[in-house]
Amino acid sequence: MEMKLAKKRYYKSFAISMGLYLIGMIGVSLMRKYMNFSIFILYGLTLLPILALLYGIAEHWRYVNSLDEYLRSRQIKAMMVGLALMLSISASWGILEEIADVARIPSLWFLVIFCVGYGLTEAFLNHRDKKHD
Amino acid sequence: MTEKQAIHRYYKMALPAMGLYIISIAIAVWARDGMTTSESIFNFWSQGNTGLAKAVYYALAVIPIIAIGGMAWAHWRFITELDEYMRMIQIKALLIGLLCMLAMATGWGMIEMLLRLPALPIFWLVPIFWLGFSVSLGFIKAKEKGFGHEE
Repeated sequence: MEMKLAKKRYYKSFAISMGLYLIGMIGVSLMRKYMNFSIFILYGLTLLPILALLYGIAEHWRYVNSLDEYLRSRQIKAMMVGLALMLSISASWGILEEIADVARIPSLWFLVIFCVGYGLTEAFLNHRDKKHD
Repeated sequence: MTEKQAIHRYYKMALPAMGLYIISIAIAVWARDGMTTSESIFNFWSQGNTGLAKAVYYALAVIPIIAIGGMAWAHWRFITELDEYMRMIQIKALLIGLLCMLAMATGWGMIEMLLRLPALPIFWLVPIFWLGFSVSLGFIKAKEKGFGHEE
């Protein structure tokens, strides 16, 4: 698939996923605060932002697969750095949490940690490639 | 390098690291729980000196972190020593492990934040990753072997 088309499709689905995520997050927070819904309904509604984020991840996966071999390997390298960052923080801080009673990191932050590692590496590799060109 | 040699090198590094990880975690947990009871030999450090006890915890926590680093390094070296096809299988399994980890962290994290559920100890994210990685690796390898037989 042409790179431009793949990017366009990715941005479209990413915008949808982020929109659903925001609606779900704000909606459930407001419902919990101001309305008296049963906990089971709230559990069900919490699935909306979760599924929106998972849809975003799945779309990213599809985008990576639609790239040419070189760009795909660059994306995979960046993902591996994101994964390494996540693993090292969860292993080190996780052990400290259990043993040394340090402050807990909410698990939702791991998506952010991954995105930071992934994004910075991708930007660095992109910059390096452009410099070589 | 052949796959057999790479596997041998991997086990040579990963197995001692894994052993060190399990032993050091057991010692650290024993120290933590022991310090709250009067019988523990670790009370030698903690009695009347909580600052020193904290330092002991930190020191004990460093050992499993080093062991995990060793395991990750051995795995990374193993992947780079494989041929392109086997490397791709490993990378696919790693990405599925990453997906499991992200799905769990995001899903539980969201429920934790929105519905005030008990926090998921982030210590468990590493086993979740390894479980996702191992199961998907087995599945991908079985699938590839199946295709091989069909041909």
